[in-house]
Amino acid sequence: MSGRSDRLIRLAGDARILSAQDCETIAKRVFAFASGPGETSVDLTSWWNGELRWARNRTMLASDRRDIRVEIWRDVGNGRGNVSTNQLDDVSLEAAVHAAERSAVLAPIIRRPTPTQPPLPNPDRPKTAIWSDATYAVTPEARGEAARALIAPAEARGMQSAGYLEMRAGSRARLSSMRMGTIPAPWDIPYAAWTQAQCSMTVRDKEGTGSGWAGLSSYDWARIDAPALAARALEKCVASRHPVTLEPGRYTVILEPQAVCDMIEILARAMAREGAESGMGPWVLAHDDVLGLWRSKLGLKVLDERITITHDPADPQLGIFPEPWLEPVTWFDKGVLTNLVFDRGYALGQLNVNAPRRGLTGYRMSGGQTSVEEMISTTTRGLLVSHFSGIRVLDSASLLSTGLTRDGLWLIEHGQISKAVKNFRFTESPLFVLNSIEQMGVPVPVFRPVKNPYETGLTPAIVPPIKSRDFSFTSTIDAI
Amino acid sequence: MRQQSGQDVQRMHFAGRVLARGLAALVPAAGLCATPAHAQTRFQWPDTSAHVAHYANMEDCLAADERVKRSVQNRAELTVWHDTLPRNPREALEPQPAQVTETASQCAAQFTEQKVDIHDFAPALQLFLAAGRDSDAAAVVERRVGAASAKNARERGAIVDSAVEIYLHARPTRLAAAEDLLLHRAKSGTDRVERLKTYAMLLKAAHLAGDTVRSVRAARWIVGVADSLTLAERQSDAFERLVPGYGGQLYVYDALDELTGLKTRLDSLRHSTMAYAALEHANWARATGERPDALQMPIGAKAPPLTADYWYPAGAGSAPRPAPGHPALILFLEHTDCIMSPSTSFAGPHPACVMNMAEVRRIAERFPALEIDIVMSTHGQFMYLPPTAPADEAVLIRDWVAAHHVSRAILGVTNTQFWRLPEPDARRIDKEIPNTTHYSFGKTQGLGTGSMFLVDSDGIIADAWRMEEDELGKFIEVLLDRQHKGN
Repeated sequence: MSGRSDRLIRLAGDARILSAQDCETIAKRVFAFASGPGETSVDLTSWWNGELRWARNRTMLASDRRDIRVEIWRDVGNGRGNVSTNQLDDVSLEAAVHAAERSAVLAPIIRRPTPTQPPLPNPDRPKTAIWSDATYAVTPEARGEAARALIAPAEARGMQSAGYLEMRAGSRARLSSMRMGTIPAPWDIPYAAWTQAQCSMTVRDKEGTGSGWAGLSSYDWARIDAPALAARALEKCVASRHPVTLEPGRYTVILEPQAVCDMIEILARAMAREGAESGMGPWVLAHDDVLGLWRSKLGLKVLDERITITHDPADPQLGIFPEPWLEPVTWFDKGVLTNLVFDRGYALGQLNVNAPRRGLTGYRMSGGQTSVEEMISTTTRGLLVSHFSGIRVLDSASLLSTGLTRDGLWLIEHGQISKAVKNFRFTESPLFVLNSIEQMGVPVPVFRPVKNPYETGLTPAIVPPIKSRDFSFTSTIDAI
Repeated sequence: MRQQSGQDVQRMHFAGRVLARGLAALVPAAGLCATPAHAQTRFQWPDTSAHVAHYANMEDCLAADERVKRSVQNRAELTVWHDTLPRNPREALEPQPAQVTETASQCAAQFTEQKVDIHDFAPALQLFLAAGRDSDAAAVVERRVGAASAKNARERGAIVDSAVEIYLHARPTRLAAAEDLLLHRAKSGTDRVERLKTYAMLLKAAHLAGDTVRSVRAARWIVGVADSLTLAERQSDAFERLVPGYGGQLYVYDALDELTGLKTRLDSLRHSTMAYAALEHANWARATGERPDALQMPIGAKAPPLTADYWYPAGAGSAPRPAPGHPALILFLEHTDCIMSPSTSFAGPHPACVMNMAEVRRIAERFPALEIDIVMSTHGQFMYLPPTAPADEAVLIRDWVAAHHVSRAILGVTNTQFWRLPEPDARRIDKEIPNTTHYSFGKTQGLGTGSMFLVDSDGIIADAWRMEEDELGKFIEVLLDRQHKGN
């Protein structure tokens, strides 16, 4: 092997993502190519994505992909330039470094050095469970076998199934030539690697009158019982066939955990503290004319008192990317809004605390002990909702939203499921739903995967089924 | 057909290369254009050079011109930080860099004034000015104004406003052309409040460009119009809206200031600070009809003693500050306003603060006898560090100020008292520090980062807030001269 090819780093053998050692080696090579002084920083992202998609009981896509992105930042004088590449040979890396240097001169991002630099603080990074060897070890053949096992029961019943299996791993490190081997700055990213697995499946009957869905995501493939998901999707499909049309209106609803997650998702995107303190969003209370600032609803009861939504980075079921100074956080405590999302700049400046709040990237919602069956048995007239789709917010102040029920909607009469119902469009606010709760079940993990392979970390959620009254359905839709 | 072996293929390629070399040697001798050997090119860079002359419309030309301008500015900033240099008062009258004008000229060459669609009036005007085609620019304006209905004063006014705005924002700023339009508009309209606004625009532009002849002329017109306003006009909403919070009175005050002139102001300051204060108060009273002491700037007031919990150098606070018997410059700063995005990798100094500190540094070097007091306060955090104790934060502030090399500056840091909104909000609400309270003098205009006070040797405030460095230097010279002469 020539000297040059020795320096090529390939993801050799079973390696699908860059290791910490790989990242350090590449970073050192990048730093060595810099011509002249000034900081060089390199952001190394690698991902592997093994997926299998099927439709009409036949595989449509099976791939095993991986990629690397090396983003190089070079400071030349007062200018900064950057460039990205996914080529790791010496010639390419050197060319990329020099391209970043040219960019720093020709189209610079002007940087004025801060006149004094206090010593960098050493950020605490939480230990989180985000890596699973079981996920990382799944081969294309194993995915094929798994899919075959999922398709077979539906096919045997004369149903059409479609689904998606994905195993993913990723890694990220952002290293600086000024701080190699020393304390990283809060904005550096020490090496972290994560995995994610997801399985989701829709089963439909050939006449197109029934549809059932089930899905789950986790960092650990071993925690996903794929055959059980397949059985559930099939069962829902069979039960949802030949739906009847029901009048739109307000109904008591039993929301399965996935439907609850869909509702919470609306909340999750509206948790910005700075927005609330600028007079925007659902958490604005009023403007305080004396202090000249906006008061938020922090500390006020905004949801049913049985609802507590928390996140602990150390929770083995709720691992997320280990960002600095992440702490356990309670977003809603017995219905009281106790935290909103803010970054470290806000934390330091407004609160004089060292910990940002990173949003509902992962969360656990409290529940009760009532099973869905018990909820059904205690319902005189209502609807059982599998999940929602196509949700969009209509009014950011009240979070009034609209969307569709999908893949299984049933009428409950006198404590029993009486018939399948055609899907509805709803126009409702999650705030109303979560304030109208009658019963809650045991929280379970749901389907909430990260979609972009370049995104760091995971977005796990654990939510219960709930029974809520007066949910507003505004029209029927033909889609099943 | 015989299948080619690997060796055959290699031989053919080799022969091809020899032939190509031979041809390449022959072609220049034959005076022919060399044709690239496309078959042998795996990749060819696309032509990325910008042929602006081929741009299809004026917006594209303006965008190209803007790109070139930004590129030139960014490259210039790599070597020179303009915010550490004194402001060039005639910057607005200087031409654009040659590359920028050249780009505009090339791109505009395809457009003739006569063929410009009248609806493209604004981009055409900008482009012709950028290309230095002022006569075409004037013709476009004339054509556009002519196309507006003579009865629709509102539309004509809007067109003139747009044209004036473009003339004043062009580089170099076209003051004469703007003035012509404004005068025409002012004389043709009957709304005198609107006329006041028009003249004020001209005054501001001329003042910024350092064109004193034109600014004095505009100031005279303003005062003339203001003096002729009826009480109803002065109390009208339109007059109040001219400057939010102050009304059109501020225009009149600025005009009187311009008419008074720096020389007169310096002469009165040379006589005494109180004489200068009386001049300023009189201008305010004349402009607004209010009491003279209603002037928002505390000129002529006794400078309150500065207080601090931490003084640097240590012991500086044992004697009163500002120091009696010496002219002093007091600068209020907050580090939270001076460091941008402190918790991210984009942490950097705010250009306005860089400018403040560079200005004070130059003043300190130029006037060794001037006392300089920098007033700052704690905020419970500094840059990207975890929350710090007040004493530690004061040390960090001291180091930050020291890094700006303002010689002899005395730094006073006050430990800001604060309270918090009840949990879980917990926001920190800072109480006003005594220095801020005292130096606000009960005026509605609050202090902020960069507020300056120039104090004479008797401890009387000679000027306040922000002054141009050149003007500030002249004021300091007078105060030091007075100190030297003992009056």
